[in-house]
Amino acid sequence: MNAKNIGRSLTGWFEDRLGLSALMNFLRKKTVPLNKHTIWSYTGSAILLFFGIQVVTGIMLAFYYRPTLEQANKSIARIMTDVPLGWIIRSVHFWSASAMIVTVFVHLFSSWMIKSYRKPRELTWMTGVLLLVASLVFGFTGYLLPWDDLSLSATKVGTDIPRSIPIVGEWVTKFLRGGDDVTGDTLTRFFSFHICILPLFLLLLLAIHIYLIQKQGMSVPLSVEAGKEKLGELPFWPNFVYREIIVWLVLFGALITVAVFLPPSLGKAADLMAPAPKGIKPEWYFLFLFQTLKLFPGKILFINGDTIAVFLIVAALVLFFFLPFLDNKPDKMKGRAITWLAWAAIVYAVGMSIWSLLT
Amino acid sequence: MKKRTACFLLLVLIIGAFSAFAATIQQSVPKEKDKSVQAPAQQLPGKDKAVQVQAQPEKIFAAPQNIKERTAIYVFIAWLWAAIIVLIYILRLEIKEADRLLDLKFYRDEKK
Repeated sequence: MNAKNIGRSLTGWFEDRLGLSALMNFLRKKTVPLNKHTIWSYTGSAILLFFGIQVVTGIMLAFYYRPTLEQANKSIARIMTDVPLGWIIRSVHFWSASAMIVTVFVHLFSSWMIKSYRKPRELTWMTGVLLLVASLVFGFTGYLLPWDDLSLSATKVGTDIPRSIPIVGEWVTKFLRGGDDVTGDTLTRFFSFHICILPLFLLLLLAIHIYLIQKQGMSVPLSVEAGKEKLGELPFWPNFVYREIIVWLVLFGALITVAVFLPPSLGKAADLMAPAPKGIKPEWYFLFLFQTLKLFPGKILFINGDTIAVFLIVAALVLFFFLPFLDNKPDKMKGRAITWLAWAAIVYAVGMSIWSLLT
Repeated sequence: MKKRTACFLLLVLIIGAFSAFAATIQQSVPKEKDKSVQAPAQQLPGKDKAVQVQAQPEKIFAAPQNIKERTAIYVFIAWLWAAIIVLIYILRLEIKEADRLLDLKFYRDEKK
């Protein structure tokens, strides 16, 4: 009985019980549209790669992390100083989070530009927006876990923002904090969100998102749909997958290199009684929102400036969520205007972030 | 085929050497670093027994502090990129073969 026969009988055993050949046949038939926008197709799997790295490094960190007021900062210090290669694992987790959010933004904006949300892919877009929100909430909850001065102050500011919403604002802030102030209860609550609730929510959304993509296939550019361009196709397996693996390897190597040479530091344990440090700023992906909030004055026509700002931001997010229904004529003037709006949004977000960093 | 076998064996060698090296990388922030980031112990006045209080360090930086650890990190990164380059080379060969079969319409004939 040689190795080939053993391999064949093992494959047969699994095939009889799992029926994986149906999946392999599907993957063989699946194609990827080949055009000038195909490069953006790699961003989806890149997000999956970074998410996988987050899960693995997150589990490794959770072996040593203690989500209590007294032990949180000390356990991170222990991970960085005592646990073998702990500082690299923490650094990879830190940088992979940023890389994942960057890739999510690129993926979303590229879909906006190419108008991948055209019928019948509206739900794919909507689940994508929810995935973006989930990724940002992941970042927000994870930022508190080291429990140093910076993360405590940033969380105080961040959880204070919903307070300006009338009627429900106080309740939302209390729900987020587990009380009136940011305390040990907030830490355990954020930890539960970060390692339990958000991963389940994200995995559910991801399953729906990926199912919709497999069911409907990948979108083609408007010019191909209009018949102006001929559609080229690349088989998903093995042609596209091999190319994707190259992208993954380069991204993985870059991530490890950056994590090794630019590891994050850890501030001293947060003091609940101490005032906020000067120049407090949120993580980079919230800077444009932070700067937007600072632009609004205290009162506008007897209404609280923060309330108006929060409403505008929520309204923008809702419009973003329902974009496929707003952009129902993508090849007309309205569609072109919405594309220019995407460019304006990118310039605004980048500009406001740079302004926030410089001030 | 011989080229691919040679590449594969080279990759196994690189990964094996890399794993052996990774196992010898020491933890960063050696003991002497702890002294430099910690404030000196304080003696509280008015106490019968001297109470030593270790002030908390302002910040903990994670990075190799001595030349041996730094060299180990650089070598680790070099091995990593060497393995990645070899893997990319093998994948490019595979992509070439897959694209050649695609041009020959090999899979379409199979589906028929």
